[in-house]
Amino acid sequence: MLSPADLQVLIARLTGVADLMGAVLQRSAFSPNIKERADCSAAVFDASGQVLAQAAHIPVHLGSMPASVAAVVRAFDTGAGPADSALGPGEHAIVNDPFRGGTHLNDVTVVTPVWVDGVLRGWVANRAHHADLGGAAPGSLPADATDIAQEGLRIPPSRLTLDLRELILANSRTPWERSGDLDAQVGANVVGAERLAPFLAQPTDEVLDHGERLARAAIARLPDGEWSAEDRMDSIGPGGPPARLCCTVRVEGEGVEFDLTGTDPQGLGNVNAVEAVTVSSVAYVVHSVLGRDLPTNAGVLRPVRVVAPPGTIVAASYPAAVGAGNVEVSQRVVDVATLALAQVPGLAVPAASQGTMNNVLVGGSGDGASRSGWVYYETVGGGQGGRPPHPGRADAAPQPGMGGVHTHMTNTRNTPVEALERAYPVRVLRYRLRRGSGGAGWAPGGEGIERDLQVLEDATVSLITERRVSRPWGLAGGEPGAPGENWLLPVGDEARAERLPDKCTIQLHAGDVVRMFTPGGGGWGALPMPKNI
Amino acid sequence: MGVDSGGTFTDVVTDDGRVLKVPSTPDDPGRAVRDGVRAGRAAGDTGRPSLLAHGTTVATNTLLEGRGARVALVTTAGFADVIEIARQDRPDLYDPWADRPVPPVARGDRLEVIERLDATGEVLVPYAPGLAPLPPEGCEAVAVCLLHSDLNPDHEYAVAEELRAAGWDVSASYEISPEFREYERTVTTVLNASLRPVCAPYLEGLREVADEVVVTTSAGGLVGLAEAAVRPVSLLLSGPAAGVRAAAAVAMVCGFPDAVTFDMGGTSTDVGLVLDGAPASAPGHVVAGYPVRSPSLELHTIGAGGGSVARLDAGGALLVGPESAGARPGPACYGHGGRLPTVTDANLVLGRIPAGVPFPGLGVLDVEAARRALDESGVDAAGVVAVVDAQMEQALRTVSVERGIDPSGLALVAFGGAGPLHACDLAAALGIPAVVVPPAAGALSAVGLLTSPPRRELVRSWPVPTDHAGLDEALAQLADRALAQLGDDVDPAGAVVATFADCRYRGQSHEVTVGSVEEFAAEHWRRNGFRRDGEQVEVVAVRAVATGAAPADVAEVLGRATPFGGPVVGPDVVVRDDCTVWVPAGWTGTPGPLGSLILRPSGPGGAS
Repeated sequence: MLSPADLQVLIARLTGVADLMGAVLQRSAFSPNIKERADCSAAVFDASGQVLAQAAHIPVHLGSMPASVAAVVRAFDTGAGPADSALGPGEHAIVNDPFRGGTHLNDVTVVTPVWVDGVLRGWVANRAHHADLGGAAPGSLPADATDIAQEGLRIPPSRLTLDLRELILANSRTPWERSGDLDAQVGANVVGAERLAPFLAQPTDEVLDHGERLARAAIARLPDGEWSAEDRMDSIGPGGPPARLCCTVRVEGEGVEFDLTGTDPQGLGNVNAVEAVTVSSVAYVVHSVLGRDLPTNAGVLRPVRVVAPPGTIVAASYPAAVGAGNVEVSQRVVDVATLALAQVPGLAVPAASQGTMNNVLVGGSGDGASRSGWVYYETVGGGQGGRPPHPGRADAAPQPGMGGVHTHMTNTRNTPVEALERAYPVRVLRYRLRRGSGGAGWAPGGEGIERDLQVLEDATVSLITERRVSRPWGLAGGEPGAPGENWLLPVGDEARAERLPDKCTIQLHAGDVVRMFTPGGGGWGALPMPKNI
Repeated sequence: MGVDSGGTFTDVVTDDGRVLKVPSTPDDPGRAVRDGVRAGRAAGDTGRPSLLAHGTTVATNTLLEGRGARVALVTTAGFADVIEIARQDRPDLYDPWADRPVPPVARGDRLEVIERLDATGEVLVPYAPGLAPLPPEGCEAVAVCLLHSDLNPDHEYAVAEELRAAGWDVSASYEISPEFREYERTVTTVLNASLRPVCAPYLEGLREVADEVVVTTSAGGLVGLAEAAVRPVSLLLSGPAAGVRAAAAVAMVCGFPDAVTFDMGGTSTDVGLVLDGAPASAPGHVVAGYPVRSPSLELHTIGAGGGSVARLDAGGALLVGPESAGARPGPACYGHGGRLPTVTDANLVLGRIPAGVPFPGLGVLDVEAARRALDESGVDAAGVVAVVDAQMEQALRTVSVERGIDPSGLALVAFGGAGPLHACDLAAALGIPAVVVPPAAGALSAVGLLTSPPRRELVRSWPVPTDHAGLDEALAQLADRALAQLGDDVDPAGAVVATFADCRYRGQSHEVTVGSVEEFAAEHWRRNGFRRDGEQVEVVAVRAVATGAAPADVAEVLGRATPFGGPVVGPDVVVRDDCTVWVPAGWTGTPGPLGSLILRPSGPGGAS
């Protein structure tokens, strides 16, 4: 048994390796997605694929990175079988198949074994959002996809050979950028594996046990009981019907169950999450609501059970399209689980945040001469939910939600307007907070963003957005936030403005403007009654 | 004379090597500076010193305490909220209560002008002269930051001139931070505007203290009072940067051109990298959550120091920090009522700080109180030191190994009150073969003030990243301007200038500053582990750095400081007024150049 100090030192070292890998990846990657927006993650694992530490980048990768490593561990014999089927020293596996360890096709995970003196002792892995891997629309997130084949190239857990690399590049609209990002991913794992190796001789199980003890202690503070909530997706795809999500939280002693039974079946749209995404969302809720100082390792999730019935939008099966599951269903799973927890006596829970990532994908085929094909992907921040007084501070006051911020399952940075305009044929005409969009309350919700984006050459635009019909809910008497709105202004003409649906793929001509209003956050607490009345 | 303002003490170093401390006067920091100058005068000398080199906390404290002036911000129409939206990310992934820093301009003070440049700096919507908006009543200063003004400052210049003509104190982004990325440029310009009405009078008030007064910038360079007063946002790391300069100079004289600097104080620790005698520089840094785009030394700061509190978490791991016992009540052993165990308490219980020795201002430390605090919290002293050392080791790795620097070629320069207590163990963990403890290790920033060079750095965006035609001419022009500006402060004879380009591969969005485009691939390989020969290299910005001769040589300044004796064979403790050196078993300290102590592992190939 490690002493308390040795345990903490080991935790710090493992975390240091994950942080280093994330830093190397961000420094050396090519695409703005990874460098400017930090849409990537890195983690270190023991030999059985249990995550020991994960760098804090993007919550949606929290529970799903381990699924990728588990799929690789399953796919590659790790010593018991013929030697040529194992991943040897210096070899790497790659995976993005949502039905075998991935999330959506853009998220490509590179997994590398850590061999020490001829024995496989652990794994390192990192994931990066690749802007394009083929499919029916630039950006590989076609809003109108109805099955996975339309979304792009599916890579089951595979050895990353030069041949496979060529195949991946040949299937992307932006091969030179992909090749730079893949180089960076491999480089990060090489550095990480080398740094991790010496620590794998230590009792890493104790790091997981420690995480488990912290999680059990946090859960034990809750009263036993059962609480349920419902929420909805605006649509399962362009023009599609809405979908319902259900969550029942059951607390018993030191364990908690999140049961999503009752959630609607997967449909002919791309608003489907695979189970790994749902597990990530629940893990995020555990970290943000139950214990904000929990480490990010596999031990923390031991006392947490997730029930996600197969074939639903929270545990989609082949051949569902899943592009929006990662980015949109994940946000709603957080909302519905949080809404259930809001009923637990004594637990401080903020009102709903914007509940969407407002995905915008713009791509063109270039001018055929000086400029080649281009794809620009961005998510847009919105209002955070109003917050009750901080649970750990005696004299705390309710805190209004932040405005124009990324919430819950993403935390990417924006692409600066000046960087965006210098890199792509687009222009931002307006970029402001959306005054008055936060739900009223004692702690009002944060405001959404108003942004007008003009394309300077013909382009295809996909919008995948939510909370355009339903609104981010308020809590404890607070009002809901304003829903978002999407508009098309042909050649920027206000008089011809037409409303766009929450999800669509449209062809734009040079000069057209897409206007987006992102949702405000819900308010927390009833407005105090005016005195002297 | 060098005078460095600190939180508790103001340190004074004279060019004949005397080091002394006077109490800081936070309500009026200039008073402690004048007290220090008086105290630093040689006996019988009633005149003023010919030169005062000042390290100031006035900008940092003004920012951290929210005492900056109210600023109106003028932006391109449609972009007034960039200052609040920031980069859209939140400061903590899992804590919904963690707030971004408060936008430094209130909503009602954000003003817009109709104008627009395109992505190459060409005018899309011309600015109609005479339309500069009127700042609201109560504003004391104005910041102007228009989109793409780093490529073409004409509109910004016109707006700023109109406001100046109307009597306003204007900071324009093309002057303060002419680099792309609108949020960072806006924040830097706004903070400058906010600091200037507070810092300028303070700095002007020091003009009479010496024949000439110079101030250290975040880049560890000296500038004249006038320049410092115009650009206070460049002073935010003034003191720490000077410390790194001195550490680099001492290491160089001791035979270590490459080193890591390790400045461990009560609540935080700064580490930095020195290569070939020069501290690593950075294009910017973060203060209080704001990204400040202003040339700096590259310092990696962690929130742990001697006063950091140790505790067990609910899962049974030993945590150190980020809570700090501060100066009051301070560590339990100070006897000021502190009940929580700190790193200092652990060092005392372990005998790494000697019991029974009086320390200036603290007296004899209370070992029993320290032991009691550790016991009551259930943490053991050796464990506390091991955990804090692991944090320090990580920070040192970040600036060395993770940049592709081999530690076996480095020295660790330890200073600050607690640095020399932890240095040998950290050097051993990292494979660094030698530790250098300078004399005056507890007042090294003040030493650095006198050994820093006068310095001006100019930067401008390069308009077409893929087209390098005219680059050499532009660099030469920028170099001339930097030299000319340096000449405002110092005799230009002997000044040198170097030029740099911020480069990246096409498609990348983070830049590496290199001496020339040709050096980029090798530097990229060293930092990131790969290069892409045949890929287009883009130039995003060009820089020129002009430097002059430092006011004093480090050998002169340290010549009369009390030298370390020796040899010291571990385990042993060397107690000085301003720091304590722990020499672990297996280490030997020998006196080095400039009165420093050089520690190496004992035995064959070790101490020499």
